[in-house]
Amino acid sequence: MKNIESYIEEALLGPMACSRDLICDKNCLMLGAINIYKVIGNAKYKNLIAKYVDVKINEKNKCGLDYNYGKVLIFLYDEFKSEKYKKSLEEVYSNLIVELNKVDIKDSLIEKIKKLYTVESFFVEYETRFNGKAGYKDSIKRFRKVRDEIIEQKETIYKDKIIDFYIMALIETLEKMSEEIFEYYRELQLMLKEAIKIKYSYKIKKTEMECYFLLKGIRLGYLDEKYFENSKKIVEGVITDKNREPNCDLIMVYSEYLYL
Amino acid sequence: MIKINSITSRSASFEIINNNPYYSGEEYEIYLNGEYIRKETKNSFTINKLENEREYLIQLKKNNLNIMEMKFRTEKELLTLDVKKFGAVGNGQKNDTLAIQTAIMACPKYGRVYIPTGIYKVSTLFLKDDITIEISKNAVLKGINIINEHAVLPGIIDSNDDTEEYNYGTWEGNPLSCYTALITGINVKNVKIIGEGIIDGNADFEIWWKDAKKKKELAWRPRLVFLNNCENIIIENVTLKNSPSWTLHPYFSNNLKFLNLKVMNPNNSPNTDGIDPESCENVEIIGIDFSVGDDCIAIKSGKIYMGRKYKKPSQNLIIRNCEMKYGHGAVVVGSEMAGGVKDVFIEKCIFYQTDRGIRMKTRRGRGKDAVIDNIVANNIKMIEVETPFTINPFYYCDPDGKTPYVWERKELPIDEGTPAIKNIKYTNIKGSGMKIAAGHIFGLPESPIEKLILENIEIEAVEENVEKAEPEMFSFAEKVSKEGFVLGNIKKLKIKNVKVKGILSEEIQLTNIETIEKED
Repeated sequence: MKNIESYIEEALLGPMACSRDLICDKNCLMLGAINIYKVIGNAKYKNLIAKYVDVKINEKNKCGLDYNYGKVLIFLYDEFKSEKYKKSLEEVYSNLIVELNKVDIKDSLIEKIKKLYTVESFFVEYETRFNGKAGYKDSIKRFRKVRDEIIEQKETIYKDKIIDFYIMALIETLEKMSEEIFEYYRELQLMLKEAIKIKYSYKIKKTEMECYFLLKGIRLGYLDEKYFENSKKIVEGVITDKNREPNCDLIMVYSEYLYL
Repeated sequence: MIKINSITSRSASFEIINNNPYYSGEEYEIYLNGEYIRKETKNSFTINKLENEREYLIQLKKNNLNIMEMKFRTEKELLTLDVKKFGAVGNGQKNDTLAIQTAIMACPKYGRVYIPTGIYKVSTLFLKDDITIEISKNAVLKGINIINEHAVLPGIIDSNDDTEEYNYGTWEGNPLSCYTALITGINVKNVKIIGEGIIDGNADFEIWWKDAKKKKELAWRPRLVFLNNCENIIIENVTLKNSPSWTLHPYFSNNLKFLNLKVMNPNNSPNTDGIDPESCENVEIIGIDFSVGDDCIAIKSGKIYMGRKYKKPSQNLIIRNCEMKYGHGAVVVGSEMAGGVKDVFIEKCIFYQTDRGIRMKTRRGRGKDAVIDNIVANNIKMIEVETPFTINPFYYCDPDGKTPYVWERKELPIDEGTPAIKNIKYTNIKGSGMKIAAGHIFGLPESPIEKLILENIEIEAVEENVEKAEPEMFSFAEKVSKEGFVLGNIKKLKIKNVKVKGILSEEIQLTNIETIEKED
């Protein structure tokens, strides 16, 4: 892959427009950069992220205040202990609670899965850190509901790429959940094992992002090693390809590659 | 009358049958085959240094008069493996772990691993079936206080086909990774640990007791002695001290005898419970001298997951002739009791300066298998116990304990998380120097205590003024001092000859009791 550091710098601080898509990319990109920072410890990544977020906070720019942005704020709060991040974080969390309380029975299964992916890992991380884990119960209920619908529609849904979002949601949420409320932690683990087992019984060719999540799931101890070799090979192929242009997804893939 | 509680090849434990808690009330002399051994004042005691496969006559005398006697024969022993022959040095410097472990692994059935005088630095020793380990007088197994000198027992490992799970480590009721204990037994049976020596965890505030709520590098804190899935284990007469966390933790193990031990941890050391049987059956805890930093005995059966999945209660436990000093509670049930706790008999014990005497802790969320039933305490002396009796179904010390689901005092719908408390009986109990409340006993409004019997109970408060404090750990608890019995959410209550002296409130305050039978 081409130069990642300069790509991240350009994407965060370069003259890009505040369009919804690009902002979303930026939040994902920052999460990737956080992962890289956590593995290699290069403070440049941390400072780049802080610089970008500080501008947003100073300008009261409400663009792209999604839940991935919330996760970035938790990271910055941990690193810099500054109340401005905590304040912004509370804002994102309050918005989330309002949204979660809107019961939308018309949501299709696909929409529900996407919502799990965008919401739960931030929600659970917030609960773990700042709310005494009181909301785990609610998060588990939402997962159970989706899981039951998925099982009902097994044949069709597992052939669809949307199932990846379900698997990703499980891995990302598990990562942020405390094992100390073990009954919920274990329930998510078992949901993940079940999903992986069914999905790969359909033998779909693995994409780079799938490999990223499989590797992460194995590294965190949720998944069996048997998916490791193949996933590693695919990821290595992408990362060592000098002609590949970086993008937000590939930054995530790269951050996991660093653990190998 | 005298009874035998255990016989090994080199020792025997006895118990005098009388009505005096822990101390016999008078000094007596012990003679063995006509030879004077020592004076004794306790009801439960051990005689060491016996020869194997030999007939003995034990006599207890007072002023040269025989008061009781009994014949017994020690068990067979095939050979003795002195750990020094296996390379252990015992100089307090060298790591003797491998040498002692080698002796253990080499020991055949009916063999004895013998640890002579010396200080042996040890990280972890794993037990093996069918052996006796004798830690002799003046021998100390001393913990190596370095985290990464310990291995990790992982929480759950799934079988390759994901149909079964294997649980090795545990922490506070959940199957989580923990470091190996100084003495670790996994799936072993027929083991006896005897002698007058010391197992010293060597824990301190620099390593294990520091940041007690945090997981250490890779795993949670080790116990001092951890028995996972073991059968027929006797631990007799040794001293257990300075444990990194719970001192003696039998887990999913059956047929256990813990006799005449000394369990000593500093009274400010965090979570250093004495003996915590968790999902264990047929446990005898007799003649133990406790002085610890947390609960002396805490009976458990998993926080939620383990209780719900394996449904293995702790049951048939006998606690007798023990002295329990300092620490938070003397005999405690819970709070991790999701698999239930039943048939617990506490008798002839002395509780001294513990925050609470007999204490039960549960909460909504523990589940329908979390049933406490048939807990019987009789003939107990409580000295300066701040609150002698508590049952608290609103216990908040969980990561999610301070939430409305746990603290709500109004009736909630019964759900999959509702626990239950059935039959509790306390008789012939005297307490002096009470400070906070004689008793604070509650069921849940939606799941009241089925039957509570309080009979021949006399509690006396201290004379001087004392600072108010919460009688139990639940949200919004009011601070009180020198209060009587406060009882609530009980179906059948029987009160006979209950007296509380020197208090600032009514003797007995009742709320939501279905039927009361009261005699003076």
